[in-house]
Amino acid sequence: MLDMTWLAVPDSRFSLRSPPPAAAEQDESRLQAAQAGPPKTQEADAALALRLRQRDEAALSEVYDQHSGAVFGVLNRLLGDAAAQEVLQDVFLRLWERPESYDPARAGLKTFLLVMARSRALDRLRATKATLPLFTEEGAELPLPDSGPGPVARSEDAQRREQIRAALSQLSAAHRETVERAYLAGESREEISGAMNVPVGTVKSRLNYALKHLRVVLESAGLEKAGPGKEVETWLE
Amino acid sequence: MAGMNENDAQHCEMVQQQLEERVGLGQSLTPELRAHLAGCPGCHAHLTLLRELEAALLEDVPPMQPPAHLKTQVLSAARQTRIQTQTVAPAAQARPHAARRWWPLMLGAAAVSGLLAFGALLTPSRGTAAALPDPAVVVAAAGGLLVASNDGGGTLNLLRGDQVTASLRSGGAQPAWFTQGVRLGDRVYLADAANDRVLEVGTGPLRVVRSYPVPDGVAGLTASSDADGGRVYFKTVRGSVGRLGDPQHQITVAREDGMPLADVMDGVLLSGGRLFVTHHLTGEICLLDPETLNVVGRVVVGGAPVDLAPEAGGTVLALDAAGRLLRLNAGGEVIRSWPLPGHPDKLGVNGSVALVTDRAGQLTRIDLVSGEIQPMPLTHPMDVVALSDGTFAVAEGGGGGGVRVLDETLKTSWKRQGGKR
Ligand SMILES: [Zn+2]
Repeated sequence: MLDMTWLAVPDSRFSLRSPPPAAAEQDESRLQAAQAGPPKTQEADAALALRLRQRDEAALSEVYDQHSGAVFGVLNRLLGDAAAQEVLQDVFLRLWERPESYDPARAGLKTFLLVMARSRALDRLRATKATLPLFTEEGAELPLPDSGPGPVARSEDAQRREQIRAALSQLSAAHRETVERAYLAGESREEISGAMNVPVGTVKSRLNYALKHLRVVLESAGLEKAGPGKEVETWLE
Repeated sequence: MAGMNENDAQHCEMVQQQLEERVGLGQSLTPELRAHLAGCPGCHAHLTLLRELEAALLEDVPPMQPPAHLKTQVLSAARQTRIQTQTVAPAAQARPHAARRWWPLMLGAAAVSGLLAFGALLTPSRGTAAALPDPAVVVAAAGGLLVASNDGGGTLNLLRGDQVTASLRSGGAQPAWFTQGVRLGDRVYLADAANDRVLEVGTGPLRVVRSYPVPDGVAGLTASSDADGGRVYFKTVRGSVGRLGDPQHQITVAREDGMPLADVMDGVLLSGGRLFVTHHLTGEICLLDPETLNVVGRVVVGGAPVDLAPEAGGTVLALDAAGRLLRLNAGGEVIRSWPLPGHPDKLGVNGSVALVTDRAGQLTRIDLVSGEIQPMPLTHPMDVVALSDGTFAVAEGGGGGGVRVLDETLKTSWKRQGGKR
């Protein structure tokens, strides 16, 4: 029995890596992601999220191509190579199995994957150290709060992210290291104190100072969110 | 702060400290914290700031290219779970398999696909009129093709030419998940990864003769009729090699517990008095004494070698899922390499023509003399086997799949359409 569908498209055999029918669309979304402007990235992320929910394997492949380097960088830093390889697979398969856990309106896909990667990595470290209870199986926390911003707020978020980067770069080396140990490597105040050979109180005050500095920078840029400012007062009245 | 009394302020400070700690340690929020956040914009804003700080630090870490074979593993595991989630029943979950530790997380998706598979199970078999549902493995059996389907019922079909002449359901505690098949005389041996067993199937008439348990999971299979009557060798998911029906005799070739993935197969082949075994996790070819199963040599070829085929001159072809076809000498060393597109995982060789299949949607023909590479798109080519008349049979999974026989120029001789009923 001959398959006429196949016979109708013999030419595509001769192009190496012949793209599947949906390729035009995919190329476009990759292009948008490469441009990195927040609205376009968000559109591309939303398109990928939709395709993941439709169980489109090519979408997973694209997400992997776009973000595996960043995810692996973080995992390798936190876990070393062997465990990083394992958790990397875990991260992308979790996205594949629970695509609905990613909401493009709340965060960029890259951020989501990086936060999930960190959370899984810290889980693993904890399991090894067995000094703290295991992380719940409910998965990574969403990187932005539940009542997170809608599409309009995303560009403001990008500006805030830039300001936070700038603020971090203004910190002293000791402050920056303390912040990284706490909010990247997931070390406790006591662990940081031991590793940096300073009292726990110093660790705490450095962290408080750093957070305050971030807030000040954001406020002076006019990008503060409902802190102890007028939004709260309005809300409380 | 207007409107806030001192207790509230103290409470918020405590909440914010807890938020700092939990975000720092990557822990989820307690219901109490969530409840407070829902009614407190100040603490909510604090959480936002912490999450943004976390994200900024994460994005500042320089990217690093992961090893290429990881993508293959992720995609094939994803593909497997898409179809196989319904086969994940308590037995499979209970196993202390590192690679399967995420399976329980898939049950959400499984609920949907499981329903579909269950529906298929309820459909009565129409006997010889049945089409080929979701073919996964095709074997050149005595006098025809044996096609094994991952359709939920583990359907086996025997084809003479393009006609189905016999059909049966293989059963099993889990719906079967066939990954490979080999022929030995009038028998066919099928690796069933879902039930951790190898089925011995007779083809005249079609029947399941015996089921061999392989508790560690089957990752590779080969048959050899060279020695006294014939033997079937298997490799387990955990990296040991054994002979079927000889449970006392099993040798571990894996040097360390890696990341076993049942869906990423390994190749096993007897050639020149040596048992060639690929170990895709480390990119190695292991050479074993087929009698003692002792490892007599290891060659690092790199990539992720997953399948093997013999060549007339005593050389062996090895397929690297990272995208290479390798020719190995009797010592397992690479003497020639052809770059291939995609991530092919099955190999069939007839004379100077090799066909490899990439389940992502491509069949590739390699002319072993001229080196010419010719790709051909197919929806989900799952398996390819070289037939004795110089043609090849390809199992195509998925809804529009079926079994296709191609000649050595990739011209389709015939196709038996798949379909669910
Ligand atoms: Zn509060």
